[in-house]
Amino acid sequence: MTEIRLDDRIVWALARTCRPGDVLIVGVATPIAAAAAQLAREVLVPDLMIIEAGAVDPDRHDIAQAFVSPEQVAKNSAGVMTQNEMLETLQRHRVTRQFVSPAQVDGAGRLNTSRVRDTNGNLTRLPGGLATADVAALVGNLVAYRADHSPRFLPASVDFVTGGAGHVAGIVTSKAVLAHDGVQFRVASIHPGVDAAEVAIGCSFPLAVTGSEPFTEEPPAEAIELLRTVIDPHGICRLETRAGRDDALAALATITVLAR
Amino acid sequence: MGNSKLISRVDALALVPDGARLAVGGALLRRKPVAFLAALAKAGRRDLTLYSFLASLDVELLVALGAVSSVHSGYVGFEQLGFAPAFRTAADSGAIEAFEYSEILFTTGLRASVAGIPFLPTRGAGGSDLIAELGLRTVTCPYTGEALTAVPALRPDVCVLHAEAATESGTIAAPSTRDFLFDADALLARASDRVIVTVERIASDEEVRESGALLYAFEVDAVVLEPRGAHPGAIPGVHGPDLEILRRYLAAAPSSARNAALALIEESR
Repeated sequence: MTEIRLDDRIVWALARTCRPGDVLIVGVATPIAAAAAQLAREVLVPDLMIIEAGAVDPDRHDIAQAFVSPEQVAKNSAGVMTQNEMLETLQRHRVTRQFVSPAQVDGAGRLNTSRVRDTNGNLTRLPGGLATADVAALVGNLVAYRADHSPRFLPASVDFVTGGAGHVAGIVTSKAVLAHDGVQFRVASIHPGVDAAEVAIGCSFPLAVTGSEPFTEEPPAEAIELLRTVIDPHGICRLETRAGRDDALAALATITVLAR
Repeated sequence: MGNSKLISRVDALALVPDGARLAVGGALLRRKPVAFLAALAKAGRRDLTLYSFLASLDVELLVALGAVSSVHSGYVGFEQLGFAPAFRTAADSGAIEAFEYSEILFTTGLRASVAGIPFLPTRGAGGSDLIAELGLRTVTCPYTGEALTAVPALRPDVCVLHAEAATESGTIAAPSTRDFLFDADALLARASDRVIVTVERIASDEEVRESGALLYAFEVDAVVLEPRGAHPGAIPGVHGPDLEILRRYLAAAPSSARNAALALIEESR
């Protein structure tokens, strides 16, 4: 039996939010989002329309390709939308779902990818939000995720509002899945082995926790098999977890050399 | 065939004076005119205002070498490799002014400029702190009454791009691999008053008719032959990024960004 890692759990929880008819954009440098989109299409929502780095409806592929040779992903797709075409598609509200990985998300569903406070309380700049502010205003359903579950990621109020429109339907963390019920976020499920008290303590905004939440569904064997053999054989999703980042970077360096 | 637009790098550098508002083409680590920008910084340029849609080594090198007073962009970083250390330090300390845009806010400003109008309305970035921080105002739709953000035209003085090939008369060949970000270069160029394009090689008119054009000769002021001009960044379909050089830079920059930048320029030749 293959060990189930934290990134697998987040990928599966994100994939499960997809619905038939969804049009989903995958952003840059978010391998967990890329893997979740493909996994959803393979085993849950066959008609899911994926747009990854402009490539429309790409064939099933190793997500490392997007880092190493994005032109391969583009070649094996229906075609490539330009950046302007994608931004126009967003503005016509034709994108229905996106997985985003902000530095912070708060109880009002506001996203911060711009600036966070350092240990001295000073605001320090992150690389920038790309289209975060736009997708927050224009995409029907956003699902935020991060391999973290602490007041740093889930503050009472974000340090800076990059995306403010509050269309965040769910949040997947290292300990739980949160869902917005129209009024506030509630705990939809708790990852196996996590105590309900930890879920409450790690979140600084008001969170409905009853203590009788179900466990987060384990990724089925079929999903793990697909991830390990086809979608993410090099474990690039680990770039987004603290425990796996160094191994993932080392793996990425190896395949970069091979691809030349 | 028109007159030659081909000029030397030294002559092209003179088109970007101290204090210029300089638009830099390419996106993330792709098609950045690294060789030209390195030469510009080494020539001692100061007080540049940079416009770079999705920036990486372009903004980082110019900031590390002290050439910049402000930066307008939607992103400055190295994706999975990490943050841009010199940019981050300078922005946090106030040594440079950093203006963060969303992708739609930035491209809407450019599209107003290419259409020759003072602003364009958008719903992009609605509800974001970026709108107030950038000083953007609201406009009311005269037909529906809807409030929209009015993004003023972004009109840089001069734009520098890197491309695979151009004719001597200045028609720029479309990239051999048209990734999703290639169109951003034409938009940026057309939004700017003057356009410099550095190229890997000079191509015949026949070849560029075959490949198609990114920009036409009348839209280009200068072509500069700059082989390996995007290295250690990438040109999609031609060469990947040199991740070893970039990693060495990112490891060395926190102790001295200036020395690390000079070492990177030396290694990239």
